[in-house]
Amino acid sequence: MNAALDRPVLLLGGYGSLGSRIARTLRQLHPQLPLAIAGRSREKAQALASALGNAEVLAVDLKRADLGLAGGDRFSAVVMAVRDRSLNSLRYAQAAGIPYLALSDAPFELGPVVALHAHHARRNAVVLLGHAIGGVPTLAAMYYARDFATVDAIDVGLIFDPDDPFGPMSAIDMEHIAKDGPPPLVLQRGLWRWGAGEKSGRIISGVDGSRHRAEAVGLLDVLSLASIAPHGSLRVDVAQGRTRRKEHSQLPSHEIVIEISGRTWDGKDERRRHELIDYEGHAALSAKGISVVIERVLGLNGGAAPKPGLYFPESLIEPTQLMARLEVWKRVAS
Amino acid sequence: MAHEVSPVLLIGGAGTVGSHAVRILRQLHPHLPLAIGGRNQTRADALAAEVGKAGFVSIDLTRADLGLPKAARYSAVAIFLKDDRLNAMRYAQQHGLPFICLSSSTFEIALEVAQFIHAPRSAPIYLASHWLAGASLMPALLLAQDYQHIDAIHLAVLVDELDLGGPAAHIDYERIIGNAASTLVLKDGEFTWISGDQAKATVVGVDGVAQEANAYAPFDILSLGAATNARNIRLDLVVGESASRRRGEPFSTEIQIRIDGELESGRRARKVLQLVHPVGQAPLTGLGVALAVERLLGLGGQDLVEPGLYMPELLIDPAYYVRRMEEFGAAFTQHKIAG
Repeated sequence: MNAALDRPVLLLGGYGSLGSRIARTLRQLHPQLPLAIAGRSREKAQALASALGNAEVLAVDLKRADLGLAGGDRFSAVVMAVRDRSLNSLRYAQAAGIPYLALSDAPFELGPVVALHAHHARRNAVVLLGHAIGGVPTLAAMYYARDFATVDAIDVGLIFDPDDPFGPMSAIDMEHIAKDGPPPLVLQRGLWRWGAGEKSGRIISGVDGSRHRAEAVGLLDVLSLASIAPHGSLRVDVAQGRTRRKEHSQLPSHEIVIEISGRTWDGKDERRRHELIDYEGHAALSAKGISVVIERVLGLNGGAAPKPGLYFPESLIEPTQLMARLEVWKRVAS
Repeated sequence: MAHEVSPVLLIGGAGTVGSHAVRILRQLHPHLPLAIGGRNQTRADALAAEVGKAGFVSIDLTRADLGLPKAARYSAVAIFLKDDRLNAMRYAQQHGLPFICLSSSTFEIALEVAQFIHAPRSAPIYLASHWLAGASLMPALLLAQDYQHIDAIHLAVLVDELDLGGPAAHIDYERIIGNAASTLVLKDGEFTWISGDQAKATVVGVDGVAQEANAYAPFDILSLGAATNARNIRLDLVVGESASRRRGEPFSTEIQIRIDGELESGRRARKVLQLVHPVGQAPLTGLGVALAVERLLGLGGQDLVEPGLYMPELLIDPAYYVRRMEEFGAAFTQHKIAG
């Protein structure tokens, strides 16, 4: 039995819109994995913990270096579904020598986490996972990019249904990124730029052909994608619009449109379009992506737990594995 | 056996800051071969002739191979300008060479960090995008050693409006001011992005004259946040008139470091450290790069640095750094104000 199952995963912000979905996904994947749910509302955390089973509720005080946790508490990993501007949560994970997943930080605000990691680089694995949709679109794009010998451009479009809104924490995060951050980061023919200038908006065609006005978004995805196309053009755009429903259902889905252009292995210049839909919506899909990374840092999916270091999701997850696990509707368009 | 080392590639080495780094490196290490990379051969040739054991290398940052011949061999790469393609860093990683860069603002750190994550075991990456590559950070860390608890570290830096550097510095400044919607400070133990009135400040210069300042975020905030237990960290930048110029002398650069907290003795105290470099900002920045090269190549007899992500304080002893600052022209004054 894996030793990771002896100790709970500490989920901060564990009962929120995203956190609770991560907890449920982890429970579904690993009935034996103990979970510790922490947040400001003990009541909400308790309700979720009871529903999950094999889960405890903890009060965490991010203003304290020991997080206010009674001595002897030991976890297998710390997952931050809330923003921690004090970085006490990272110091706690470093002191305990356990993996740490940061889910909120946009490119412009990686500095504090990275510097603190650099100071204690041999203590633990730090995963930077401030990607759109738990890293799923990026890993999917890397998977599809394998059809190409050279990649010239990757355009990722994310279509959020108005009936599938962000949770309050994500909404606050997005507002903070737009207000405090520089314009969204894009790669244009190998040149990094903050803001796409006049081309900051574009039109994305959804799965059903409807056209949506989209805007570039400044998350970590382009940085990850640059590992396979350092001299190409990379951008991620977000649109709001009505997404495809399952037959006889009124529930919104989340659509991901990935367009890749480049030269294929047989020497043809092509542009290929791939579409993914999650009928459970964006938060559920994010939770799937994040849960796969949590499994990986715990060493629960076969491989050994990663060594101390700084990671992006693609440093840890083989895109083929993720694609095989996602139960999403997908198709390749022309 | 320094004479067997391959040259250090200094991209932009003939520029305003780079030329100081070249001269300081030559002074510290007479036998270290230097490759002065850039586009302007005339200036580089003149500098190479002046310092000796150096030569010009044409660099094309738009190319993945930097336009260098396949057979070229270097021992380290330092770049004095912003490389928006990261080709220089990628080149260093592909050849397993220590890499030094110093032109990013805090909000831009992700680019170098991501490129490090893509190839973490290839080379040491030395991030020196601190104020003047470490000239405020290292004295601040030395001063911080006197404290067991720190309430606040305040850095006030002044660059004379006649000392805004060469074209590379100008491009950095425009890019950073143009894109940064806000600035990072540590406030009551939390990293906070501030803008507008919160970012405005007044700084009293070394001669007592007050000037308007704005919060600014070189990597000092990150390093001090990681290295100390300070609850508040802020850097304010004055672009104005230096005290020396007010006296009718040439411009200088000024750095003031103020720390409030509890000393090792348990007493509360405020200590203030002021430093002035009479030639301006470029020599101190150049020194920072020279000391980074020295450390990364182990020229002082230290162990070689393993691949990883580094900032100055992780590799260089602040006391040594400050001693070199004095040796290369910085004048320090310290005041202690018991609280």
